[in-house]
Amino acid sequence: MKRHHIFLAIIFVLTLTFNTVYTLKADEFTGDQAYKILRDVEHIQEEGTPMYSDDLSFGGRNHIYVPFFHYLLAFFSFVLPITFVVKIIPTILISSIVLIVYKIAHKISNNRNVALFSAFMSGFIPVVTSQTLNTVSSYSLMLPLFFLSVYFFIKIEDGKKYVVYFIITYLISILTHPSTMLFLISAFVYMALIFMENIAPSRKEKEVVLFSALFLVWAYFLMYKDILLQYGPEIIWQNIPALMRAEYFSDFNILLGIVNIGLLPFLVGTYIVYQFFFIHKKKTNYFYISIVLTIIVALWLNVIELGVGLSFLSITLVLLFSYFYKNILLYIKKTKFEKHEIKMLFGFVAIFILTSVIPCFMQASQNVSISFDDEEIAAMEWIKLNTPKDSTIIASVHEGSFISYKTGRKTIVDTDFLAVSDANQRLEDVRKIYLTRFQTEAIPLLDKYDADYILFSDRIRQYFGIDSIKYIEDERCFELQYNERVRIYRVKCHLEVVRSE
Amino acid sequence: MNEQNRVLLIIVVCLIFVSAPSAIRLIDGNSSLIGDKPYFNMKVAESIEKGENLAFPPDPYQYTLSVFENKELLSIVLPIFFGLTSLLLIALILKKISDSITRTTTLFILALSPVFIYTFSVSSKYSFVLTLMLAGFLMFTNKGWKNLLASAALFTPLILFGNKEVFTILFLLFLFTLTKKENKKRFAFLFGYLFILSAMYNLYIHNNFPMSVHTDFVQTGLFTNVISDFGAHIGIGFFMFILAFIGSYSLWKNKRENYLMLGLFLFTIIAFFVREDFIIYAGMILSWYSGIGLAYIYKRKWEMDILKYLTIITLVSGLLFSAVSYVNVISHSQPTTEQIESFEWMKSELPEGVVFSHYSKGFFIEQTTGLPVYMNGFFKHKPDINEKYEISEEIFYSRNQKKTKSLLQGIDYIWIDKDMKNGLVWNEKEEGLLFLLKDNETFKKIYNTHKITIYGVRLN
Repeated sequence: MKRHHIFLAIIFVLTLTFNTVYTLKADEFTGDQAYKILRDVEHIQEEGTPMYSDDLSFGGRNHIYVPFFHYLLAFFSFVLPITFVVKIIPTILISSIVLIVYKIAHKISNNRNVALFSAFMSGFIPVVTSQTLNTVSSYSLMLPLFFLSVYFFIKIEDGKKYVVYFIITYLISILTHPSTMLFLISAFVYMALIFMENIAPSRKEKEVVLFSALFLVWAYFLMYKDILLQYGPEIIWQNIPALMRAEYFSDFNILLGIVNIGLLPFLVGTYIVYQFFFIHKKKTNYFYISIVLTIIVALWLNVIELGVGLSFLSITLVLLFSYFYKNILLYIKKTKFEKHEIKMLFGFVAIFILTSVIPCFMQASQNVSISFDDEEIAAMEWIKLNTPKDSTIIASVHEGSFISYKTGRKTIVDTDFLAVSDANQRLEDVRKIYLTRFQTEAIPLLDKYDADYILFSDRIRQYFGIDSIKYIEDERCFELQYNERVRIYRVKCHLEVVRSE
Repeated sequence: MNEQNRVLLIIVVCLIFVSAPSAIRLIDGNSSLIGDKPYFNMKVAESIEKGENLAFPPDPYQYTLSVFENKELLSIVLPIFFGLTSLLLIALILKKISDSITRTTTLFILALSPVFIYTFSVSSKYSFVLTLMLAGFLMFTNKGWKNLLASAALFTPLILFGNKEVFTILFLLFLFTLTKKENKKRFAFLFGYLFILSAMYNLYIHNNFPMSVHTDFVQTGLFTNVISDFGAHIGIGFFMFILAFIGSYSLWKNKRENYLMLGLFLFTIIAFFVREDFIIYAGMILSWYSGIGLAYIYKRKWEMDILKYLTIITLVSGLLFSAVSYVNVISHSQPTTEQIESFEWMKSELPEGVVFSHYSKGFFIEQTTGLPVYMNGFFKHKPDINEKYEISEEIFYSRNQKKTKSLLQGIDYIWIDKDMKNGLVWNEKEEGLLFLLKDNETFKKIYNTHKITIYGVRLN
């Protein structure tokens, strides 16, 4: 085994260990979406098909998604316990990003040490940790696939086999997550940029981009046809209700970029974009620029979730860092500082540890701390054992899938809004149920959704900024049935039309 | 496979796709015709048959329907027949202007295009108009004065269909003449002939029928209304749209030779997006460009054959997908079984009286119940149409009981369906008239199902 392979293996193991240790620290998962995926995976395990119709979410709805990631987890779940699979497989997948970054960085810099350092950097990016650690997120697979597609795309001139590899990777990413569109748009931006610079794209590039575009459009038309007809171009916002848009699509600014991406990759990456654009005009460089431009414009236009956009952006900036680092090394070799190359490396490492690795550990701790805890699990156990199976539970939007998964009971809102026609209304109604002071306002809403129980947890306290539900003390209408840190009230009152003769 | 067999296969595909919407409806137990236009045409045809005076000039399609006894069957069969004839005519025209591969791809795309499926599966004037245009155009491209006269004879009925039909065919003939200058005199003859006849016919209409007014309430959105995959009622598929651009890109390479084709493409695209009344003609022309696009992809030398075949498979699947989903959409379009049941109930149970509903439901109600409606979807030659629309809007949205009652004078029934409650008219549960309908004294619920409610209006 060559020396750089050993180092790369060490970096991979380090990243994997970091991700695994923190993921296993939490007994449960971080975020509501994880439980939605768990239900999907279990459904695939039992039925063999994706759960396109969900009886529990939003009181029953169509659930449309691309299922490759779910199938992958279901496949491993046949031989390993599912809770272990959903903890470990995404961790391995996201850790593999270091291997891909190494390959691309090596292609950019033609220097193994630089590529190794870039690989190390890509393993510790705060925003990537926040998105993927303990969240069972399909981005754990999508991010590596995206950059693998980038790698094969920039290699297509090196042989026909790379075209085939690209097609396979690209097809898998289409089936993994719709953010594959970012790749396609970047490819178009790349074509436009080189056209403006009077550089002709190669025939292979044109053919690959044409096929990629047509196939993606076809595949997503096929999968999202009904939703497309329902929402039209607004599908970009995934039907996220206006009330929650700010939570998903925050405005991007430099400080946010530095905090989430890390000082070194952010500043250096930005500088390299400038260099590629105006100084070192080379065909392949335009592809990296086009990815950065696409993501920044998408973030600016609020058409991509902030965390997701920053994750893609951060890895691209790490790749650009490799170019910078190579140039710095070349430059230093021409100066009196040549002897201090190692010191400079340590300097970079120190800056990186301070501005990226430490924030990354902090982010990982936070992900673990906000995962669902024992108290919440106990409450779910109680619901499962003590409530009728067809009950509907009122809870916040961030607990819907968790409750459905743990109890098998219906909820009226969760964080998957696609194909839900009245998501905005439901969210508004839940808000009113928790915030109103009047029973007369709450009971018609509870009736509207046939709600049987109201959950009151720390998450709800925090989310709505309340200590209690104002109208709930009336024992004639609401019975406190579970009274721990989480409270569960049974709804006893219903509206009836009274006719006077 | 030789070209003859390819064309034959495409004709079979065409027959399947144009007859599928009606067949699917029948299998689903809905024997009604698709959309509201067929009902309007049948109503006019019946009036012609009975010799009634009409407030507007009927067109030759309605005259054709009036000749036959079984108008409903004819409304299904006639468009299909016109569809197959048109496809054959297009094949013959293309034989004169394009190569074998482009012919095949164009015919294939046409047979699968939503605009073609709509035109030849829904009973409307367009099936007849297109057949006449194509037959006349074919004759025009043949040499000799006999063919020219035949062409003039075939174009003559277009005058009775309207000015835009005459304009469209003259524009296409003009472009064709520019490419083949030897047709200059023939074009001049046809232009003069159609122009004079058209002017005379317009004068006749002007003197004998009320003027049409601009209906500013019929608004059309941009983009969503022309791509069937985005929900357009009439339009082309998204892949056809992409292929049309690829087709024009291939022509751009020899832009000096193809300037007229490129000009037509630009004109068609603009007409397609901007003018809803040109959508069918523009859609057909765009299908031709899509055919050129597909042929270009097929004929082009590819670096990697695997990508070429994958791309073509994707495109063909996309075209098929658009066609299949469009057939599914129009086969489930209005009138639905529930609507027909309510109309039949009205026909058998209700005494004579005027029905108020959304204008898009007007033809169905009129034709199937035999009762007059306050407003239907035919807006031409009705000078008071805008006032009528404004009144109907006031009735729909006002919560003022006194005002609504005064506007409802002369109306006996109100017909409401789920569509109207879900965005076609109202968005809120108790918006406007929906709130007033709670008044049992004035509005008596006489028919109520999950999707349709009919109220009897008692104003005193």
